[in-house]
Amino acid sequence: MRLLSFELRYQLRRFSFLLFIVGYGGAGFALGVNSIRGTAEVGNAPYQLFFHLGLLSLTLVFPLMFMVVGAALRDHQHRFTALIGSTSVSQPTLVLSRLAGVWLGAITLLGIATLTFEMGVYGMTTDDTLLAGVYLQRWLNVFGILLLPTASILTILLFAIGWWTQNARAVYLAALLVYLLYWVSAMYLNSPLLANAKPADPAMLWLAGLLDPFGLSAFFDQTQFWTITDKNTLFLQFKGALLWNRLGWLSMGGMVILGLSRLAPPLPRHHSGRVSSKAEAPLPHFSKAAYPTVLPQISRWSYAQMVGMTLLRFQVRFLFRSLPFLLSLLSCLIIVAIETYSYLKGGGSYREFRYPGTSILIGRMADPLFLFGALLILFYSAELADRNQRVNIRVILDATPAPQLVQFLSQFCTLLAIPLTLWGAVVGLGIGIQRLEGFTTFNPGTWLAMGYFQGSRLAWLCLFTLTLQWMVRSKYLGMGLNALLLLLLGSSITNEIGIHHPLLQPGRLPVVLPTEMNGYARGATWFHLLHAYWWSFALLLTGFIPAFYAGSVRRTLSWFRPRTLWAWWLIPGLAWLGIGGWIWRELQLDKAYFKPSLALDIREDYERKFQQYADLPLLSYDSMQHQIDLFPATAGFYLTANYTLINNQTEPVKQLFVSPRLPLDSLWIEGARREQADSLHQTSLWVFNRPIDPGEHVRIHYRIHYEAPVFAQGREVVANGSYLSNRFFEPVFSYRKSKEIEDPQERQRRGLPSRDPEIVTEDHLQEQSTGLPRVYFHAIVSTESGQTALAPGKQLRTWETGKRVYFEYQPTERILPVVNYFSARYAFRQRSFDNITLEYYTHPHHEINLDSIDRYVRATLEYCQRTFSPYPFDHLRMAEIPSHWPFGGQALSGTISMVSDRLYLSDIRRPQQFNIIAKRTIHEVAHQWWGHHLAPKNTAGAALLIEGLAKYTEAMVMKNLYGEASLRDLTAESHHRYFTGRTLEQLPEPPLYLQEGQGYLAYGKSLHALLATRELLGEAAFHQVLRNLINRYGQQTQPTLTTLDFLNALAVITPANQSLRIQEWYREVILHDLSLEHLQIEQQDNTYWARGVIRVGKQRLTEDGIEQLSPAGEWLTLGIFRQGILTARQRVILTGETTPFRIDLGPTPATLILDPDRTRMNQREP
Amino acid sequence: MDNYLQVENLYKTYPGGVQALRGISLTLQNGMFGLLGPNGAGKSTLMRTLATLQPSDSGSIFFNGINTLEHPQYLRQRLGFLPQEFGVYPGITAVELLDYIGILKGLIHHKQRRNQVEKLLAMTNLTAHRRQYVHTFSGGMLRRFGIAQALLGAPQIIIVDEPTAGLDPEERNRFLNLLSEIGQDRIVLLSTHIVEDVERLCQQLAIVHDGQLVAEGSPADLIQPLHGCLWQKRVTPAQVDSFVARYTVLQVLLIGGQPNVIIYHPTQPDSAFLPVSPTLEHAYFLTRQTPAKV
Repeated sequence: MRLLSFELRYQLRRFSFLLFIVGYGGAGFALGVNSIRGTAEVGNAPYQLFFHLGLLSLTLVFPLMFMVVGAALRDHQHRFTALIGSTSVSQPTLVLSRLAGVWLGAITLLGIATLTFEMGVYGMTTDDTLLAGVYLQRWLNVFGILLLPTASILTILLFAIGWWTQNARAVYLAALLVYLLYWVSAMYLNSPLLANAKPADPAMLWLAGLLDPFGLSAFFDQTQFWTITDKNTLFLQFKGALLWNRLGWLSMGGMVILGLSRLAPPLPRHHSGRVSSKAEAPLPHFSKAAYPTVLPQISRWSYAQMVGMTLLRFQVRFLFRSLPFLLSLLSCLIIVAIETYSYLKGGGSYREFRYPGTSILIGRMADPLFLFGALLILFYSAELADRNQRVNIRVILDATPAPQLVQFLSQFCTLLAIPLTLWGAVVGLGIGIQRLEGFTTFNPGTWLAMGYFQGSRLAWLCLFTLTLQWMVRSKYLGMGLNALLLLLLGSSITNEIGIHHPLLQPGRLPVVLPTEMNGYARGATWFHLLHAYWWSFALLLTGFIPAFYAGSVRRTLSWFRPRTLWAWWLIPGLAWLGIGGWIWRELQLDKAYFKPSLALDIREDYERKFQQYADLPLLSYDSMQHQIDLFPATAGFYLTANYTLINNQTEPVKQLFVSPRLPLDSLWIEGARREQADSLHQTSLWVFNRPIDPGEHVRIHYRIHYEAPVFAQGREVVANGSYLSNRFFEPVFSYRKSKEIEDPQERQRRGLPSRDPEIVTEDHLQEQSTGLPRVYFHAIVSTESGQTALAPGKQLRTWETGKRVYFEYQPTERILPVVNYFSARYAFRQRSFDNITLEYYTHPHHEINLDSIDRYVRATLEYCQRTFSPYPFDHLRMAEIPSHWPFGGQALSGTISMVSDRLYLSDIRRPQQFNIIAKRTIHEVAHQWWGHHLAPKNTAGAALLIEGLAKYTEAMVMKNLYGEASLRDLTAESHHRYFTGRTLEQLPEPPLYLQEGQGYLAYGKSLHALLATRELLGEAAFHQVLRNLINRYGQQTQPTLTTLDFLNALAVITPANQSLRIQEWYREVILHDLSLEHLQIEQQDNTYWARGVIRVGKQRLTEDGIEQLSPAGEWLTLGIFRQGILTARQRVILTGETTPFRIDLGPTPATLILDPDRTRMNQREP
Repeated sequence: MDNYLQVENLYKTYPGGVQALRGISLTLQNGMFGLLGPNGAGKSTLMRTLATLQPSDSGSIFFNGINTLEHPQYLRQRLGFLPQEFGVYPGITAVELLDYIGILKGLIHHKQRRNQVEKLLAMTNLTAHRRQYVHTFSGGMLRRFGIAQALLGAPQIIIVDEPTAGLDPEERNRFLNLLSEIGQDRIVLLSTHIVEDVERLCQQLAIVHDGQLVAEGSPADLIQPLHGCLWQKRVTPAQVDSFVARYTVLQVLLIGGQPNVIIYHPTQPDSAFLPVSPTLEHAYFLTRQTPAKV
């Protein structure tokens, strides 16, 4: 106990430990504050404790490294081995006391973080509904299952390695490997920390859950489908992967302890290196003449050059022979390869494959490259700066005339070898992957640009961290300071601690990634500017090294010569101030940069000033005319717009409130005068000279001249691949509720009235339409010569003037008022189908999938025309847009945009894989019916009729093309999407017919309900319902269709005894738990029979909680599969919670699948 | 070439408040100069300051008329320095490391540098180990390597701190001879605890105590005043303390288990005291006595 007490005192007194206490205390508090978000999640519920403290436990290896080196290596480091060895302390006592000291230190840090986490939560809110209360069970849960085991496992692992090897680097390396293990596990698990969207393979989930030494993978595995209510109330169960993970690692830890106390060398081994065994030669006679002197020559430039090159050579050799570097390089390549391949080979929602386009590869490589590069630079800047001191050769080298500046530069150049090597390695890997995959487009320019855009940030880090190390001259202090500065000022944490201005965030450069169409053009200027700003700052900082450097005579004297300092400081100093001043001015002028508090002030001001206009009667669009000149090179445009608005209300409109999205050069409203104008919000209130009566029209004219701010990474107008929506520039002719502050606590702090979440009811569906009526549209769009500009509608004419080319578009019918303008250097192909002109615009190198796309367009047109109604336009245009858009595609009227890497670079060469090109193409073409031809009223439930029916069409066409297997692929994804999406829902889950843009309902559950309806009513009857809806509501100028109309149409043909099913699927939230039990196969007279029991649990989710239901009377389908193909279906009427069945399989055994179309939301399956 | 090093009134106080140098003044010329003093006397601080590894708080150091505190590079290109303790890079052979240090010292001509490196390896009996990693060297080999690196270039001043620690007697003699020979036309500043070496080799020496110079001169100069003043007597162990209280005791040696006291006294205290022939060691011990007792 005395040894342990000494050990604990030793650890607690160390300066580094005090720093860690401050760090963990602060981090715990910040996480506690951060856990209070929204109005539904309990900030310190067990789940939140697990999540946040689990994240923090990832950092535990840092303090453990320091503590382990102090505990396991200090005898060796401080030459105390012999003294300890001569005492009577036993081996197990010594080992266990040291180990326990480290362990207690780690627990202390986690305990402090837990305490401050609670303080953060309680400091942030006093709302009892957001607080879990003070009771021990929560902490026992998180400490018992997560923190104590993690701390124990990590302590034992690192300590054992430190004790056995007596090598600090081995400890660092072990820490790195522990992280690697976590990252690999997290990558496979689809950890929320990695923000990957692909559904995880259950087997890999289990493996990852077992392997992750932090236990977080198993935690995410257990909680991945937890809803907000679950997160607020449930405790983590010590079972499954979590149980085996903890038990497995702790058992291993126990064995390691046993081995340490029994088998480890009796005392830390003295690491003395090899000793020469060669016999000494007889001593020669010495004569003075045998000592030839050589005169040094240090005044020549060649001396500095030679010293620099020699130092560089030695240091690079040291770097490349260094085990941590080689292992990190290898780890980086492995992770990049895994990450890249897992993305290329099944990385999306449908496990689809992609071609290895250069931009795609760089997008996957950028993060690991920076992460590994930054860690290595942090480590080696300290190693290089401290190396002479550490090996104790500095005392010799400092007495040589080697210039200090040359030494600094050589170390900087050595550090540069890290990003250069990493970059070279990943580029080599990328090109190798491209060759292997047969992707022949070689983009040397993009690869080189990657060196600049991804590598130069690391190069800056080399200079900055090395400078700080030279100033501090204490390896660990410098490393800690560098890490702290970069974490606090150069990461996303910077914003959390209240620093928002880009000029105050060193090294936090915008991440610029290329796209196949647009290269590195987007955001490059801003990158160059900030880059120059931070480089000049780092150079200026190097000028201060002598002031901090308690070094030799030369440093303290010669570097302080005023003449030297002026020259040193002047150029980077002026550059830093000049560039910084210019950036600051630009940010101020464009008002694009606001502190969040200022942005909130502006939102509050908007609401307070203009909320009074929220209930003004509105005018609707009737016609839109745009004349727009796009300037891709400068990311700007000129727009002249002429609109006609109409009063579709039942009362006269006297005033019009205008709230622009972009500053307007001019605005004119017919018969109205501007009464108020606000320069801050650019808003204006117009009063009509005479009230606009119902049905009366008003003309409006406005102009916009837009130039992208230099710091904007705008996606709309880019060098090649512009895609500009009218939603980006169009002024809003009403009060914008979206500009109000949403955060309830922020509203409360500012004294704004609370905005209770609106509960949507059927009454909302009945209200008068405020939606988007169809408009007449006409556009003239111009762009740079060489590019093609596109817009919805038929292309009437094109002409060229000077270096600009003009295009005129006009639809033959009214269209929905959502239009986009495209401009790019396109390759064009035109085909036709059934008197419909098919136009395909692609990037010239991306025509590889065009024939497939054309085939699926035709298949969809054919299916939809045959099943639903004729295609509503005479053309269908499909154009490629760059990969920086975060969606798969977008359907405008008669025109579809598709994103490069989600369609054109998809690889569908393997016949057995899911055909993502077919899926995406069919979906967007289907929207020409569901969303355009049949546009529902813009109200709750509309997504069921737009996205739900498009998904349904997608499923039907896919089934026709590729059979039932593809239908099961689609339903597997939508099923997964539903169960994962609903975990983030803050409010009670609405039924399908009242959904309001929830992706997990629109793209998830809707498809299942529609498939169930088809199965219930029969395909022909169901499709007749859809045809009837199109006939009645198609092409309405003012859409009126709601989900009530849809349900009413279904009700007409649904048998009375099954009407409850429709009720449950669309109007309620029902979850099932389906399983097959006691399944037996019997053979009778050459026929196989399957006998078993279907077990069905059924729950209804209501506002009051969960209600258990009996499934009696409900039917379920059993699918009989042979070789993966559905060969027969058999419907079983359920008699209760369990239903016995016996079905004929036919002459050969088969696979039986319950509910093969996934018509029920089965909790068991995800 | 005649070299001289002039140290004037050198003061150095470390951040912890320890006054390591308190007004040291010295003048050195070609030949070996010994620096004696107990642990903590300030020898290493003085040597580090002379080697331009750290600045002084005040005072001046002139080497051949150049102020080395202002122009350290002048001294460095003429300096050979062997610290008491030093380390080496792992995984680097003796030839590579000498070549490396040679370049840093300004030996930019490849052939000349390699030639000198080979010669120095031969001189220090390391030729057989030239391709061996230095970090695997034994203590004696590493010391010889240190000597070799200190001799790289054309040092006009060589500062060596305990250069023979860890060397066997034969190597020690050989190395001291070497220093003595090459010290004929350059300054060699030798710091050691072995007074006998200084007495044998150094033309001049200084004794430092508590950051101050307490004696300076040639060994003969320091020994001369002791002639006729040193006496020895065999005593019982119980008598030692009373002798220490009454006389300036320089040494108490146990001979055959019986204390033999050597005292400094201008005259023979009594007939039981026998005269002792003075050595530099006696002079060194005398400097450590309080002035009042002396």
